[in-house]
Amino acid sequence: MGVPVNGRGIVRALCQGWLAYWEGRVPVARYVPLRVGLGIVFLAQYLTMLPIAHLQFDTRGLAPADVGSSWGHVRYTLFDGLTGGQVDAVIGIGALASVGLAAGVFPRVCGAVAFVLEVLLLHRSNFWQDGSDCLVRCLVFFVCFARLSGTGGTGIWPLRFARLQVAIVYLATAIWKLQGRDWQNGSALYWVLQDPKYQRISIDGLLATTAGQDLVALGAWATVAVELALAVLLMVPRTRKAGLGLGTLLHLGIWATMRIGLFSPLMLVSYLAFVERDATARWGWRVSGD
Amino acid sequence: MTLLRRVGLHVWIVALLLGLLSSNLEDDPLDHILEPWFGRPFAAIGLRQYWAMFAPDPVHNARFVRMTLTAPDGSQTELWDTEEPPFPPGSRAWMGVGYQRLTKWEKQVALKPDRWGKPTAEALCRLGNLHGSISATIVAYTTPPPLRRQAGTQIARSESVAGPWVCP
Repeated sequence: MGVPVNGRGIVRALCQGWLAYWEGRVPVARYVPLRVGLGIVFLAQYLTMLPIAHLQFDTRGLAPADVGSSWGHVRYTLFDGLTGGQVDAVIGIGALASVGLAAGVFPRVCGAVAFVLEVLLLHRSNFWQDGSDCLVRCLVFFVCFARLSGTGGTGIWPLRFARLQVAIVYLATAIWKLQGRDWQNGSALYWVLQDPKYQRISIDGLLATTAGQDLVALGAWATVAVELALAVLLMVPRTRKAGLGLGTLLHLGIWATMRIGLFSPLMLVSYLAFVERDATARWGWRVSGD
Repeated sequence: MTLLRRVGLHVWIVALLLGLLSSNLEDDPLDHILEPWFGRPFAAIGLRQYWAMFAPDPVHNARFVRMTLTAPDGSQTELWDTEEPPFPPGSRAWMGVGYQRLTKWEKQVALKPDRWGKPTAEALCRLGNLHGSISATIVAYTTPPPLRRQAGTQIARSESVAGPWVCP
């Protein structure tokens, strides 16, 4: 057995593992499902900007000084002077670029255009975005480093970053929740499910009973446990199938009970980074083993 | 791949990993070291991230905002009512997505009406070429804590008014 037994051997094995992990190559086709899914969600995100576009981005709307001040150290001011028609044009170009990304028409260029325009809009005003905007932006950023059209091979590292990003979402949100009193005492889902802003279906009757409150307390603890588990299950090829099943149940459950925009559909789309087409498989897809 | 390209790729990968790490560490001693080098460039290209969904604790009191215009002749028009949005619960799911974006801004106004009410009112005046004054009604729902809640206990609803702000 070639097991390293000294320090130099361990370092060499780690370096070889690192190189093999990041330098691997996959067929361009591996990126297609994820590219299409991200393009569609990006398009939906651009279109849903329309109700707030003029208030947030138009020079006659909220002043940059009001909405751009919380951005931090660097703020691009290119879109500070947009007027009504220009706002619509920017959103239109972003939507068209998203279509191009999904359709595979100069996908890297289209992905980059959609990404850059959204970043510039974000620097103009950052009070409109939610978690799904941020996640799509990050995933498109990574994926655009791969070849997205044609045949042949391309690097696997952008796909690995997309997977890592999804795992980080679960890990980070679970760590945040573990710090909260409501998640610790099990009352968090009680508050969330009663909030009329997020409520898709009213379960007030259930929540007013002790049994119902016990049930949602179990649900709160299970949510944190599942999120922690998903961060690991999805990254380890041998447990990926279980992770995808568990995650799908979680997001379908969230989608059925709560209105949180595009987040649940997007998380399911992001799972396309963990699967690949396989004509010989039962459903035409299989879980990636790399 | 040439050696130079390989080295470049791995430097880039390490930089991205450190950017991701810095972006997800909040007030951590390690982040104080990483932030200037990796966190800020990561933020500058739009990759700053914050995954505290309903965490550390979810909001206990739902708030909505109603912006009302009072015209010079005294007549009143509701410009914006997030409690009765154009896409009410029960309508098609995709319609609710646009509403979610509005609530992001509404949250700012509801939590700090003195800070955000005036700029919002002035923006609505400019965008709609409106005359008169605009006030914001903050509608708050107070949900009883779970252990004290009995069957039939109502969620309390209250209203407070901020403004009015005169259209410039």
